[in-house]
Formats: sequence, C-alpha cells, structure tokens
Amino acid sequence: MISTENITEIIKKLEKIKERIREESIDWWWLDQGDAALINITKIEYTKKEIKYVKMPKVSIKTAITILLNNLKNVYSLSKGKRIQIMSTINEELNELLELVENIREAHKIIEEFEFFDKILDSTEKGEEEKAELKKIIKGSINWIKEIFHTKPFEWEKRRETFKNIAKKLHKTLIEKPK
Amino acid sequence: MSMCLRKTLEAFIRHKRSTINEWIMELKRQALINLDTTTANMLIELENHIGTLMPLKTQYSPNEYITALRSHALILSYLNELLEMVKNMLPPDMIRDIMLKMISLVKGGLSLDFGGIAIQCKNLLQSLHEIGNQIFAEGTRKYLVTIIESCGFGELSKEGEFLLRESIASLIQSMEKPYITMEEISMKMGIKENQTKKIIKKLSSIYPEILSKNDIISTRQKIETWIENTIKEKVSEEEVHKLKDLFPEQLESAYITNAKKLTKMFNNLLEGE
Repeated sequence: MISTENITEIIKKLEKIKERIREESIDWWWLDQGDAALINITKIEYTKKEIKYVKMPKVSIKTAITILLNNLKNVYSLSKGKRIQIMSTINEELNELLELVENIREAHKIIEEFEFFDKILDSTEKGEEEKAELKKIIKGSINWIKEIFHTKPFEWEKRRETFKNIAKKLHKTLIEKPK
Repeated sequence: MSMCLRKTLEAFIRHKRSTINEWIMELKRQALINLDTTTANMLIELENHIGTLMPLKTQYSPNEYITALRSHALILSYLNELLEMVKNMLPPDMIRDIMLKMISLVKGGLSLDFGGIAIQCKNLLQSLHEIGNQIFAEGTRKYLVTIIESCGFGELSKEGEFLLRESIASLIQSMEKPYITMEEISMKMGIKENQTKKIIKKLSSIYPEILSKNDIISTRQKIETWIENTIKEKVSEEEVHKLKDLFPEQLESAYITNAKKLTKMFNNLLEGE
C-alpha cells in the first residue's frame, strides 16, 4: 500500500533539492544562472474525469522540479492503477534530472578550470600569437560545452572525455614546468 | 520417523561418500604421478575422514538420528560440489582446509544443529567468493531435491524449508526479468512441476515475501531492484505491464522506494557526500 508518509518524505526532499539547486545555480553563468531551458518534463494534469500527460517544451531544472513536485502532490488522491503509471513517469524523470545535474556539475568544474587557465594565460611568458591561440581554444571549448547543454544535454556523457583531455593539455602547457 | 526419509538420507550419504572418494582417488593418483607425497598423504587423511561421515544409530534417539543424517547429508553434498567445482582450480591444501573445517562441524557436536551447520558452511564457502556461492547453492539444491523427489516436500525440516526458500529467492534474484515462472523453477531446481506448484503455494503462505500468482513468482526485493535498474537504463515496458497486472501493490511500493532512493542520491550529490 502507498503510504502518505513516503510521498510526503519524497516531496520534502525534493523541496530541499530545489532550494539547493536555486543556491548552486547562481554560479552557473553559462546556463543563465540555472534558468536555461534544458529538459523536457511531463506535466500531469488531473481533472475529475481523466489524467492528461502533457510533455512540456524544454524547461529549466528549477521549473522541472516544481512540475515534478506538483505531479507528486496530486498522487495521494488517485486510484492504485493511476498512481502506478504516474509514479513510473515521476521515477523516470527524477532519474533524468539527477543525471542532468550530475552532468552540469561535472561540466561546471571543467568550465571553472578553463576560466582559471584564461586568467593566468596573460601572466605567462608565452608569445602573443600562442596566447591568442590558447584563448581561442579556451573560449571555443566553453562555447561548445554551452551548446551541448542547450541542445542535447545528455550528449555530455559521450563528450566529457574530450573536454577533460583539453583541460589536461592546457594544464600541461600553462602550469607544469617543462622538464 | 519416516522410513522413506531415513533410507533416502542413508543412501544419499553412501552415494556422496563414494563419489567423493572417487574424486580423492583420482587426485591421489595425480599426486603420486607427480611424486608429491605431501599432497598424497593429505588426501589419505581426508579419505579417512570421509569414511567416518555417517552418524552412528546407537549414539542418537530416533529423531536425533534423522537430524544427524540430515546434517551429514548436507555436509557431504557441499563437499561433493566443492571437489567437483574447484579441484583443478584451487591449491589442494586450501581445499583440504575447507573440507576439514566442514567435516569438523558434524564431528564437533553440531550434528544436531542443522541450521547452524548450513550457516557455518555458507560462511566457510563465502571465503571462495563467487564460486563458493555456487557451491553452496548447488549443494543445497541437490540435498533438497533428493528429499523432495523421494519423500515429498513435507519431509523437509523447518530449516530445510528455509533453505528451499533461500534457493528459490536466489533463483528469482538471478533472473533478468522481474519474476520467474513455475516451469523455470521446476527446470532449474530439478523438481517436477506439480510438486513445484505445491511447494510454492506452501512457501508463499509461510513466507509472505514470496509472491505468487498465475504461475508467476517473484519477491518484493526482486521487483524493487528490477525497477531501479529499469529506470536507470530506460528499458523494458512489457514486463512492467505484467507486474502491474500481477503484483500492483509491490510494483507501486517499488516505485516509491526507488523515488526515495533517487531523491536521497540527489540530495547527497548536492551536499557533496
């Protein structure tokens, strides 16, 4: 049997998650401070007669969590068959959101590294031409990451190694002393 | 005391002893060919121990004698599987150590504690990791099937019923889909289908975690782990419909449990745990 406490517990945790995302996403400048539309989510509309599953256009993570919360809050009053279907959708989308936030945090760390390289680039003894070339690589990489997340954010899983390698090479070029 | 059970267990013990001795003879021959007298001597010692693995009727009351027979039969079933599965994989002294430890369980006064013996054997075999689990599963299965097929499910002790439940639960857990069919249990366990049906009916009345409907059997735990993987890997809709028809409450509960897990993981991620 479904227990009200379990659903309430999930709702409480999600509200906490929403708050933490709101705080953390202030730093995600490359995703419009968390307002970039990244994920399709299902809005479940309840009427007395039926339940409608409306696939929304892409929304931000914060909005996605709000929709998920609204979907959950209506679960209490439904019959078993309907609850199962809704819980299945909620599970799938919650899992996608989790994956997305994991990806964003990972990408954000790499972007911070790129920003750091950009900052120290001017103080290095590299020639102007090389500096310009490296700046182009840094800017291009950040733009590419932005583009991935704004178009197909789950593509990050296939691309992450590329950016990690670029960061590693920049680290070698700018920070490690030549032996 | 059931005559059938006594005779079956005595025959099982005799048969297992002779099979084990054949394995040991073969290993002994190999050791002698390699002029490895240390291993040969060790095997002779083991052979002697195996020879004594039959409880003495005069030492027990009739009921105790049956329990002792059960314990000896179970130990011999594990020993047989151990030799069959790992005799060419593990060093002989390691095999001998485990065998002697298992033998000492029935020799050391535990012969009337069937449940204790099963647990101790499981722990000992777990030191061999995956293969140890296989030895335990197969040894248990052969012991149980011998009793069920010869004398019926009713002749299993309470601990035997528990072992049977464990065997079936681990079969369900090993399936790719979220359940197992009666036919599959019957084939994998080596028990006739009509007998299997009776067993499942009885077991699900004793152990409510075993779910059974329309020849489909599952457990709450299996449904939960399956849902978790299905959500993660974004696969399979067909089986969900089946579960929805057969075990709606457990399916719903699995979704709730998984949603709780996901929010916890989400929270931990954000809190940096």
